[in-house]
Amino acid sequence: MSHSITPSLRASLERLKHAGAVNGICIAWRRQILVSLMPYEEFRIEQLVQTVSDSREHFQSGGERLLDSIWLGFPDVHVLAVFADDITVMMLHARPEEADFLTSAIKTFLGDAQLTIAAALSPENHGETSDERSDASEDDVESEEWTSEEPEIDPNRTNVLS
Amino acid sequence: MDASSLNSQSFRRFEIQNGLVISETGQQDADDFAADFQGLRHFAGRIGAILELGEAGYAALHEPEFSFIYTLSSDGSAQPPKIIGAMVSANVSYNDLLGSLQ
Repeated sequence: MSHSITPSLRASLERLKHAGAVNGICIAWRRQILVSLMPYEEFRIEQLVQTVSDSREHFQSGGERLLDSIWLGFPDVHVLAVFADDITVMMLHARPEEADFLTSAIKTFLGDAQLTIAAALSPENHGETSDERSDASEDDVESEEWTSEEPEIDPNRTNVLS
Repeated sequence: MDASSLNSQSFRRFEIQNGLVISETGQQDADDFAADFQGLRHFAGRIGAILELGEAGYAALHEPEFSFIYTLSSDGSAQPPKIIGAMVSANVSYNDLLGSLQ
């Protein structure tokens, strides 16, 4: 099921990547990467997500501030991070004059992609109503509690009582 | 919001010279700017190192009713870069923020 849903979030990000001179984009839930279309190795993107999350926590640590976005201008590329609840979208883009437009595009994307993001977060529940999920979970409780054990089969110890 | 309206939105400009924040709006503003500058520059440095992008020439952040930016400008000499920045009690676009310091 997850394989049929995750690509749609990926496809939405692919479209967002064409919003401007965008070099890469990544979406994360809390500190977990959901989809990365960044031209970097995964370990670097994991570090990027951790550091961006750290920066958000740093500025919001007093409880009085709510970070909306940060924008960093490096010599050849810009890093834009937009925050919305537990979701963070990080983007690499080339043209500084596109920063505000891309920020708006990311916010629109986050509004439109709520269902696909939710599906990516809990793919096993996608497509079921809450009643269906609660009924199914109650029925599954007993079957999940009982787990079969591997039989101990040792041909050299058959019928041996100790 | 255009750049001309920045003046009416409690726009405060800062400079850092020899490690001291120079402000025309009081010590509290200078302390607030220094705290945000140090924090944002620290994280910009870490992100630049992770992605091998070098040092950020400028960085900004947005809150619903607050905007912050700093820029570093170096003349190529061994002197430390000139640091100027601004804080505005409004959500000002990144382009206007950057334009206000140039």
